[in-house]
Amino acid sequence: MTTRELELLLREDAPQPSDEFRARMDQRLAEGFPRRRTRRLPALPRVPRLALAGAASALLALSVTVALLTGGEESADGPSDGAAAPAAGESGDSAASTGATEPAPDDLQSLQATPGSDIAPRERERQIERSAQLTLAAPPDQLGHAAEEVVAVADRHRGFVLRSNVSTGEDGGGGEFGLRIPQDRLRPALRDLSAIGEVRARSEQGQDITPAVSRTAERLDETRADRRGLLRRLEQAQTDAEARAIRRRLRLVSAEIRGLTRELRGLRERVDYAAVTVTLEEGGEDAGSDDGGAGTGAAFDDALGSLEGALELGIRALGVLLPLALLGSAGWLASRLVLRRRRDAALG
Amino acid sequence: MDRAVARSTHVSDALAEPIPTIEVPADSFEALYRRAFPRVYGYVASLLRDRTAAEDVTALAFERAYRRRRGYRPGRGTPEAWLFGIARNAALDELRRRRRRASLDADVADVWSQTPDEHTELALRRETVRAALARLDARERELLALKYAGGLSNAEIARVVGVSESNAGTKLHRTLEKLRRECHDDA
Repeated sequence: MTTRELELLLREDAPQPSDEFRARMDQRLAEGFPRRRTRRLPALPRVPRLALAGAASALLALSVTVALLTGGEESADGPSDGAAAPAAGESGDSAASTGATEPAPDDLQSLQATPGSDIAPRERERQIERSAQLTLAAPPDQLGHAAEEVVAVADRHRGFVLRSNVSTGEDGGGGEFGLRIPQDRLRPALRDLSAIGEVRARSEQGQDITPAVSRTAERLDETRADRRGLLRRLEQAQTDAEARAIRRRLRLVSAEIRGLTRELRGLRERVDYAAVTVTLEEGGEDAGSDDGGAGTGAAFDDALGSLEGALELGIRALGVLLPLALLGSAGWLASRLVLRRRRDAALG
Repeated sequence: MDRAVARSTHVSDALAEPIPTIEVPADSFEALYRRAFPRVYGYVASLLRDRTAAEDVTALAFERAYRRRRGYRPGRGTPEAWLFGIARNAALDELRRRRRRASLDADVADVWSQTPDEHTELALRRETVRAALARLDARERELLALKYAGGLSNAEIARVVGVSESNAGTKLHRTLEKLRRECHDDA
């Protein structure tokens, strides 16, 4: 058989559709190929699947974007419950009295169960002490008002003024404030402070004091364990001399616990409250004037600030969406490649 | 959707004859259907060797092609190559589901029409060719099905299976020669 004969045979012997099947297909063509389900080929609609996948991806991207943009905010409780805004100075002692020969059971329980004294989970997180310095300029006749505003901002953000020093006079005026602002309110507080006058300088720092906090917490736990052991020994003491010795040791341990508790509380306050130093200087534009130029300039600055904010938001969103889109594309390409290989494998 | 004239390089030019057209707009889906329906069926049936499955897959292929007709881009190949690509994927998906290779068994008689009155010698030759086809592997049979049952050009075959045109032509030539040797051995 020649090649030509073989080719003719192959062509002539090609399977042909039956008349009945041809008629059915012509009918389906006329109807626009309506979807139908077959025994072998379940017709799951593709569009809703793709739409669902797209919606899920968009939702994931939106969630990640929102989380990143609002990141930095701590949990809603802010400073720990056990550390209500302390007075400027040493924090209070623990509940144990200083002169007792033997700590009362309820004192022991109060030391162990003080709200906010749950050290271990808290201290596993990074403990960052934050601080900021801000230099503002205001016209001489508005320095007093600016100083009041600084205090008002601290109050508004649940902070307090640690120290303040304001001077006004013919030789010039100024002021300096030491504020403590809850760390989760630092950014909005700095924003509000910056709006008081012209910002001449601004800086922020963060210091990781996690090792110090961890060490203090561990020492406190160990000392408390010592105290529990001494109390058990005291119960089992068989002579008065032994009991006296144990009580002496208990007094020392209790004092050590009080000191460590104070130290840990101080460290936690340094983390919970950021130290903000605000310096007021003379200078800057007279914000109270009716000068249309200043008003226009301020409006322009506001508009520029809004534009910068929008641009920042857009760049951040792009930073999240672009990698997700790239990942999605790579995943889609990989799935197409796998599917193609599986189809080819069906031919053996 | 203009149809390209099918020309092949390694097989007889006599096979590359124009396919009859009908009076419908040349660029419509219906025109493509009219041109390609029996060819798509022939290709799918050759691959699956099961009439019922071939009808289902052919219908599915045209249904998918109809829904994606607006996604066709001329730069990616002829309308036939595009359509046969869809049909191929549907057929391979069916093969994967059945998880068995096409083999010479009782199903063979299901796809080929019975012609009890044809000349004995011709019938013997057909059977010889079918038996030889069964000894080829599935990829080789697919190439022959695309070429002779589907009526595709080498360029279109290359587009469908994802190889270069010269590669497709070379493989077709070798497969045909192998089939001819198999037929000769049987004779």
